[in-house]
Amino acid sequence: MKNTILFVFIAMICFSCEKAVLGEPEVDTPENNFELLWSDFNENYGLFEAREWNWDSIYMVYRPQVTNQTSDDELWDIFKNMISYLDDSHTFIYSPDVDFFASGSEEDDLVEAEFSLDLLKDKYLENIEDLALTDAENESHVTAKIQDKNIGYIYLSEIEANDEDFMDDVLKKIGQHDAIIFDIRNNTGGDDAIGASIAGRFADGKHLVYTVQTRNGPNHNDFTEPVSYFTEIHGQENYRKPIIILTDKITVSAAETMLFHFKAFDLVSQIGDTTAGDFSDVSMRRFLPNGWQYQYSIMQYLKPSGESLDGIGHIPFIQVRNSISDIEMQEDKVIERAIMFLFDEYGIE
Amino acid sequence: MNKKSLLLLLFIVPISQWAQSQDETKFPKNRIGVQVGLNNLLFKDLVFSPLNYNGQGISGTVFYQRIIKRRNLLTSSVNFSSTIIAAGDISGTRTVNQKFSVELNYLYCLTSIKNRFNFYTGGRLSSHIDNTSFEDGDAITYFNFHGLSLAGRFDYHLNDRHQLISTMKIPIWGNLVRPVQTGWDNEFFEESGLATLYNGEFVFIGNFFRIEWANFYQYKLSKKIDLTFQIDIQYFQTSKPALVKMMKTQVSIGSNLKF
Repeated sequence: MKNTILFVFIAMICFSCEKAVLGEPEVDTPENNFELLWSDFNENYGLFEAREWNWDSIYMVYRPQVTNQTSDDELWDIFKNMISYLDDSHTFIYSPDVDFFASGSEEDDLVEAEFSLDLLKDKYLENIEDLALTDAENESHVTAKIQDKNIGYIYLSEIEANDEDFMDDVLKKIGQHDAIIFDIRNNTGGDDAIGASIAGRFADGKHLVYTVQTRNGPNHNDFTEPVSYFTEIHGQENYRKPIIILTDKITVSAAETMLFHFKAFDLVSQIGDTTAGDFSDVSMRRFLPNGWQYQYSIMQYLKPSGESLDGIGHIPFIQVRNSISDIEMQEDKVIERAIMFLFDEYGIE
Repeated sequence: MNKKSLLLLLFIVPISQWAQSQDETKFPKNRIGVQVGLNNLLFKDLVFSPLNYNGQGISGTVFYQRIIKRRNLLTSSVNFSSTIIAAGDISGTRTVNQKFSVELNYLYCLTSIKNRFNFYTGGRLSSHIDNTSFEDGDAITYFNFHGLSLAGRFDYHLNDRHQLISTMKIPIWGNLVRPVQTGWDNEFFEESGLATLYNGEFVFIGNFFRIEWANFYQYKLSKKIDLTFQIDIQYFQTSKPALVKMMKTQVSIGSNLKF
């Protein structure tokens, strides 16, 4: 019985020896929080090279502004400024007690207001059917036909679907038309594999479309070997007629990687505004001793030529952007330009 | 070990084995048991977070033991634990650690002294899945290991009813599966989550360290049933690809059926 007591005693010691086992916990001071955040980005963020950012200069500017007397609000503003510099919407900081801030998102409210699915439904579309692609309630996915035109229409607000073959059913509905307008304005991205599957229904063969490398070392240019991604024909349905992709500044992430696939096809034209230029997958959630959390980009996506579109985005063949007053005047100049282009270029009406 | 010790050992072991074999029929050969318990986990994984985590959870074990020739033991078990951990009092850090393991042990009875003290040594083949997930996958890390261990066991029969058993297992070689520093979420979510169970690196002890020490108190309730009380201490550490340290302390109770 003495031995049992000894065992219990040892266990009780172990229950209380966190510092001995794990080491001293990170201290929650503004200076340490700054150092942890800056170092984590320095060691793991994937786009310093592609975007030509000088992260050391951020340290030089902001480190002197942080002391252990810096308030939470002041530190929050400093962190906001630091990640704002990266202009990367896959990078954000979040505080349960203060706020949420995503880098590169300053213009999002304006761009959201320059697009109206209701206006499209009221003025430009007919045979409208809502698509239930996921269980999310606030997502909008629509198939339709342009009023009085032999042109099909698809709107996706994200690149997500429970059934990755849903595009076969969509093309059974609208694939008889002479052209399709594929609207991914205000599209917030999703799953690259779903994007590849969607694009596969429009593919004319196998093409190398991009490579992906993940940051894996202390230097800003330390990356894994590139993984190549190809576009190829997917599914039962295949559409080989003119396709217009409509984009705006919010079109981001998996929507942009999907566009890599589409742009490999001959009959595809992009109309609208330049996309966000944020391709990388994001890191896991990261943590600071003060309870703030953040995430950041960890990869670089390169075109087969080695060129990066990070921070640049997909530039449209025809640049056109609505203003808020256009929407208020019940006009969507982007879709009107797409309809005109299909007539001018292919005689489709 | 000098020559005298070696000769003594070579002499004592066969004699004691022979003595034990004369007495084997007295013991039930099979034992099957269930244990449930509470555990405390200390956790730090720099791939996951720079913070120190701790928390409490539940655990369960089902095991089978068979006495085979000359008191040698063949044991197998399935173990599970689920622990909610957090970084001190920092809000929003609630994280779930889950461990699952299966193992098969062969223990050779080195010697038995008056049927009161038994010493065993042997090996273990085991598979450990250890997954830590924040908010259903917004951050995940893992420490999976599949391989061979050295195992030792000491039994002490206080009297007919009371017995103490202590076992220690130290993995020495196997497939260590850890996330890469960043970007593995792409592998996990977009390629195959299953790959994170086995797609690792074969390593020897030194590249990692695990030690599992279990201490049982066993009370003979009847000829068929024992009651058990167990304290486990397990420690895991590696620097691949960044430092991770875990220490699990567990208290369990259970029952064995002998046949």
